[in-house]
Order: sequence, then structure tokens, then C-alpha cells
Amino acid sequence: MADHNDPNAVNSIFSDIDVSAADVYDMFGYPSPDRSDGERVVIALTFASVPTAGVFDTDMLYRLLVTTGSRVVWPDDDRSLDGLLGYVGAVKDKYLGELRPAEVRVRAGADREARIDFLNFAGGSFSATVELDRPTTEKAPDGSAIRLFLGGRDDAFFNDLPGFFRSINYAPQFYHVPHTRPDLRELPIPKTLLELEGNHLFNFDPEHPRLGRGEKIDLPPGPYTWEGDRFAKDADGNFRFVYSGEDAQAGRNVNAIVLELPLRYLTGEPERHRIVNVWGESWVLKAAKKVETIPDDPLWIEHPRAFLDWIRLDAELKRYKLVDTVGQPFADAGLSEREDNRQLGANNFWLAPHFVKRLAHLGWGFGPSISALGLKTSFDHDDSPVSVHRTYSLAATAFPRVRRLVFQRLNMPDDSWNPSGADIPLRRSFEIFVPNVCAIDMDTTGTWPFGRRLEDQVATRFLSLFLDMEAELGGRPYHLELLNDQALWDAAPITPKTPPNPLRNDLDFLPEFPYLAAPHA
Amino acid sequence: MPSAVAAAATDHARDLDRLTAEIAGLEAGPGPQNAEDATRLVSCRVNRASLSGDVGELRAAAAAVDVQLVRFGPWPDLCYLRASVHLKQHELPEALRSLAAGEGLAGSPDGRAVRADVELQLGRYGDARRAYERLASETGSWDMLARLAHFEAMLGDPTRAEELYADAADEITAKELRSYAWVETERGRLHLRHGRLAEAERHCERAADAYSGHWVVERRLAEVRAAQGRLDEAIALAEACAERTGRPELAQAVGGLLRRTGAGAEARAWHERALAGYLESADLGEVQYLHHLAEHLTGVDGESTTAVLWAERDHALRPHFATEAALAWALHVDGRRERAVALADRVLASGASDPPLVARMTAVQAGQGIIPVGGSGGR
Repeated sequence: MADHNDPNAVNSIFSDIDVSAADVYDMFGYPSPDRSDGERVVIALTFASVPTAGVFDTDMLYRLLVTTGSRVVWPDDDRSLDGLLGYVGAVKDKYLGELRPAEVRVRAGADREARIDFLNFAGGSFSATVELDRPTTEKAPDGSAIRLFLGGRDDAFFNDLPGFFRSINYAPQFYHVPHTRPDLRELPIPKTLLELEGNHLFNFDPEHPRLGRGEKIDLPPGPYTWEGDRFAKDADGNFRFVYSGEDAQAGRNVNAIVLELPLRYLTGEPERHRIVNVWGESWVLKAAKKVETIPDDPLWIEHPRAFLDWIRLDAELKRYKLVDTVGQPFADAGLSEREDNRQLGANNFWLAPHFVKRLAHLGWGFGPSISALGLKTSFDHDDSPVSVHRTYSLAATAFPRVRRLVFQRLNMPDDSWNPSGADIPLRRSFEIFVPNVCAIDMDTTGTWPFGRRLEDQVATRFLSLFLDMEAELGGRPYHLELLNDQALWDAAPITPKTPPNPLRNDLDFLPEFPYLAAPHA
Repeated sequence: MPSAVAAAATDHARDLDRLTAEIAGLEAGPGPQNAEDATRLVSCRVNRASLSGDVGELRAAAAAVDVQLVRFGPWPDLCYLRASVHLKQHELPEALRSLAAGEGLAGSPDGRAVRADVELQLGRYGDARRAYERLASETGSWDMLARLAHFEAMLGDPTRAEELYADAADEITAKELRSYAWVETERGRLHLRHGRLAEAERHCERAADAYSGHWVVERRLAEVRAAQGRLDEAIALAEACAERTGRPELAQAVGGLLRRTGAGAEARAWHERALAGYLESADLGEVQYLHHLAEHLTGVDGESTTAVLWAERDHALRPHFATEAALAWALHVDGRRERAVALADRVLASGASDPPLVARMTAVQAGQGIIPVGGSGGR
């Protein structure tokens, strides 16, 4: 008899098969510019173009979950940790209680087709089989015309991702990091927007100018800490930015599910329900179910347009395993450290204390960087002259540092976001990230954080959370677009003189559905 | 490589071909230029050797890991691979040394898992169980759940073992059908050893549906068929596995099955082939076949004293319930009752719950005759 177990024999540290089709990238949502048939909302979920752009993995199931509701304003007078947790608790009760999200469910079949189910919407449930890569319109039971596109597109995200990873000292972007050492991913060096003197692992290296941008080298031996006490400066006294403004996503494709739906299809009370919350999930078929479902599911073949009731579909979901979720940009990479067990989608309530601790950890890096540039920060770093690596085990200890950051209202650069002129309060960080949904305000343009438009430079807006929104520059209050202003960087003692991330996508977005640009050849 | 004759167009054959091509690509030109690519290469080689079942290929893969360790130093992933191969070859001190060589490796979940496997082999059951429990709780990954399940199957609660295997299977996605087949095969083995033949058959057939052509699945299916009395099918499956892999323990299994049909001469030929394989391994200084060697010789007239020597040697290296049981049995057959009973007492006190093993130790205590402990391989 074999007297020991050997899962290592099959469990290679290198996966044999790429499962990145489960990697969901971005969730976009905003009111449609087309109001010819009443108010409509555009929703787009993008994910890895695996196996290729325009071909979906047949083992995957994608969900877009949707709720609608009225605009709820959380009181402004309680800025305590208890107050924050009270908000989280109230939202949790709502999401885990009476709320039953409507859902769009997509799985691809053979022959470049996909089945899409619309479930639990006010305008009725129905299913359709659609051809990939071809915009189409389907009629819902209530007569609503729903535009659909499932297929390959240009990646609508434009971003200096290597710059972000440099700012958080994320080694796998730059170095070969052993798979067996997950502790060596985000190294214990202060987060920073400005290069640290002597940070040889992450400062720009002229001998490896493309390090982190396609070039990787073996991780040198440790220690992986930083013992310096100042930001690096060149001979002219300029700081060096960790960002380059280069679009690392240029030329890349994604697969996408793009929908344009009438608001009246989503809710029976479109006048009252002005907020549309949406989030996306990827699920991969379980092995046991793969074995059961060979050959093809007869329902798929015989009744492709059959109405599918909720109970059966829940049974269907049990056949899959949840892998990834997306609601807010940077909720994963910035605040959840991309840990698999934190892929909770909207239900990220238990992470609230973690968010506080993580924001404080980031704040000790970004706050002093902002101060060094002569700007005011929302993070309390005790006037530290340089970034600090500090972690917290208790939210209560971290909270005083991030109180302002969490509760301050995030100014918009002008009033263009609110064309309706409705009385809409500016949003606050805690409202944006808990729950982890893209909350589309139908009385706005849907620009982030009132949704997310394709053209929004959200990565830079995320950094703006660390600005003090009560401060002024040139007689104007700070706002979410401040760090996207080239003039600010022209005047700053820094090289390169660029906003952190590109200001626009490599390809123009389309004026008509499906709005995302066609994929690169 | 014997596996090259694997039937075409099975999942197993396709994976072997894919790994062969990937290895060739990684070895082309100057070969890997950094530790990550080097790890990828030797990982493919170890993976392919596991998949083919070819002991010689595993030896070569181990040597390839050593070459890359010399070239790139104690890169933790390389050390982990080396530790895993050492464990597979029952080289426990070497496995621990490899774990210690990779900076930070011993504290990582992967490193802790290998360490727990070593603890189990060393008879430190409490430490192994605690580590498995913790790892399964922390990671929830199928392989950690499977480790804990195996522990429960051997030394704990078989009902919980089945539940844990079911949990492990549920964690595996359609992208990992080889892993799924492996877990299903283990579930089949668990049922088989408890005499639940229908369940054993169901799990093994499911494994074969999920991942076709794998000798690991087919050898277990052969045991099920043998237990069902379908000896012709069992022999055909077992022979195919033995031919494809060249593994001596599979040759021994074929011999055992043939002997049951009365084909004494053919059985002897397979047993001689098995013995030659065991002795070749031992001559090379390897230890992974010592328990098979002891088990084999225990059943050969006039060889029981030699069997005790091999069993003693294995037990000295891996003092745990299974090697204790093998030694107890060899001593029992060799007529050294007092020590045999003492060891059988220890085995049963360890919490061993594998029914054939418990039956054999009970027989030792009672001074009874020969009871097979293996699947189709016991004699």
C-alpha cells in the first residue's frame, strides 16, 4: 500500500492552465447619452481576453448584479469610528437583508455564441442567445429594448500601472518573485509617490529603463526594507516621480459585456430610484460539474430561449466557483491587496476595519509625498518629512489618522457632473468603497464617483482621496481632478513633469453603442 | 521513456506531449537565464515525471533541479521542488534540508505542507495533524484539504476523511481536471479499503471520465475490478499500467492478480520483474522502495529474514504506522512473535483506522496467518 499522500504530484506551483479568463478588470456605469427612448443606463464589465479577444472561455460564467434605490445621505455629523461602523452595519443589513439584486448572467457556448439571462428585473426575466462580437438589441417582456454587446474590445482602462506598483513596492511587477514566498510581493518599504533616497529596488534604474514595463529580473537578496530618511532629489533639487504618465494598457484588448438598458426596465419607480448599483463577478465551472456536463447541456441545445426560473438558476450557480469580483476601481488593488479570500463583491462589509487600516498604511506613504510637493493632505502624518512604512493591527489605532480622509466630501472640479442641478451631496470615501459597487447616480453624468465613465482617469482620482479637500490652490478648493492638471506638475519641483497617469485612452471611445473602441488587430 | 507508448488522444497523453514540448522550448538555446525560468523548466520536468510514473525520469528530474540549484542558488521555488521530490523518494532529512535552504520557505504554506508530510512520515502524528488542520483552515485549498483527508483516512475518522475529500473536490475547477481525478481516485481508494465497492467504482470511473488515460486512476480501477472479482479486467488494466510506467510495484500488483487466477508461471515472471526493480533502486542508494521490497520478500518462502532487514531499514528512516506495520508483519512471518506483537500494539495504539492494516495487526496480535494488506498487490 502507498503509505503517504502526494498532492504535490499534481499540484505544481506553476499552474498548467491559464485561468485568467476569470480575472475581471473594470466595471463601468453611467447614464446613456441617448435619451430618445427615456433614461437609459450603460453598464460595461471588462475581463481578460482569454482565450482571445472576441472568444469567451466556455467554462466561465459572468454575472452583473444590479440594484436600484433612492439616494440615501448618511448624516454628516458623526465622524467617529463608531459612526463609520454604524454606516457599514446599516448597508450590510440592507444588502444581506431584504435586498435581492437583479442579475445578468452570461456563459459562452460553442460556435461564438453566448447565452444571456436577465433575471429578477422590474421589466421581467428572459433569456437570449447572442452572437459574440456583434451588437444586438433584445426585447424584454415589458417591451424594453435592451442593447447588448458581448465580445472583444480595446481595454478602456488607461493607466500607468507599473507606476502604481512602484508606488506600493509591488515586487512581482519588477522582479521574479518565488511563488512560494507570497510575503515578498508587497515589500515592507514605505509606499510613496516620490522616489526614496537609496530605494534601489524600486527607484528608476537607467540601466534597466524598462524594468517593470516588460522587463523583469531576479529579486536580489534582501533585506527588503528601507533605512533612509529623505526623498531622493536630483542635482537640480527635483524629486523624481514614481509615475511616468505612460499608458501601460495601450494596445491591449479585453473581453467585455456591454449593456444599455432603460431605467424603467431596472425599476418600477424610475422617478424615485435614481441610484443604480452594479457589480460584476466571474465564476468558473467546478470540475465535478464539468464531468457531469459532457456532452452539451440539453437545455442549451433544445430550449435556448426558455424562461429560466430563479430556483433552477441558483442551482446552476452552485455548479460554479466564485473567483473574482469588481465594483469600484482600486477596491481590489489599492485596498484589498488582491487577496483571493477578499473577493466578496458588494458584500465587503467585514472588510471595513481592514479598509481603515489599509488606508492608514497607504496614507503614511502618500501623505508625506503630497506634503513634500507643497500640497495639503487629508492624512494625518504628524508632519513627517518622508514616507513611512507603518502597519496597523487595530482599526481603532489607525482611524484617527484617516478620519478626515474617510469623511471629507470629495470636491468635483466644476458643476458639469451635475447637469440636472439636483441637490446631490458630494460623495465621501467610505460611501464609495463600502459596499464595493459602482453606484450610478442617474441625475449626474455618471463621472466617478457618481458612477464611472469610460473617459474617467480613476487611478489619479483615487490618489486624490489623499488630498485635503478643504485646502485651496490658486483660490480654488482642491478637487478630484487636481492631480490630472498638467499646470500643477509644470510648477512642481519634480521630474518627469506629468500627471501620474495618462489623461485619455489610447483609442477614442465610440459615440454610439457599444462605446468601447474596437479591439486592436 | 515508457510513457511514450501511452495511448494517443487521452488527456494524459496530451499533457505528456504538452510538457515535452514546453520542456524542449525551455531547454532550447542557452536554456533558462533566470531563476524563475529555471524553476519553470524543472517544475515541468518533475511534473512530467509524476505524470509518466517513470522512476528513471523522476531521478533525472531531481538531478535537473540540483543543476539549477547550483546555477541559481537556493531560490525558494527550486528548494521547494527539491524538497517535494525528496519527500516522494522518502528522503526525509534531505527534504527538511531543502526546505531550510530556501529563505523564508519553511514558513510559507507550501513549505509548511511539505514539513507536515515529513512529520507524518516520522510518526509525529500530533504535529502533522495540527499543521494540516491549520493549513486547511488558512488556505481552504484542495490540496491542503486532501492532506487532512488522507490523515483522517489513515489515522483518524474515515467519515470525516470522506467529507474532507468531498470538500477538496468541490474546490477544484474545470481548469484542474487532473487534480480532480487525483482526488476522486483517493476517494475511491478510501471506499475500497472499507469494502464499499460500488462507491469505490463510482469515484474511480468519475476520475477516468475527468482525466482519461492516467495510470494513477487505472491502477486504482484495477484494484476495484479485482475486488469485484472481475480479474480479467483488473489484469488488463494493471498490465497496461505496469508496461507504460515500468514501475516495479505495479509489476508486483500484476503478479498478485495472476497468482489469483492460478497463472503461477506468469505471476512469477512479474514478481521477478518487480523484485529486480526494487533491487535496482536499492542498489542506487534509493529508499523509496524499501517498504515494497520488505512486503514482497515477506511473501516469499525462505526470505522472511531478509524481509525483516529491509523493513527494519525502512522503519529506521520513516518510523510511522505503516512502516511499523510492515515490520511487525515481517517479524510475524519470520516467527519473531514477541517483537511483532509489540509493534502491532503500537500501530493499533497510533489510531490507525485503515481496515486492511488493522486486520493484519489484529492477526499479528492473535498469532494468525497471512492477511493481504494491499489492494491487488498483497499476497
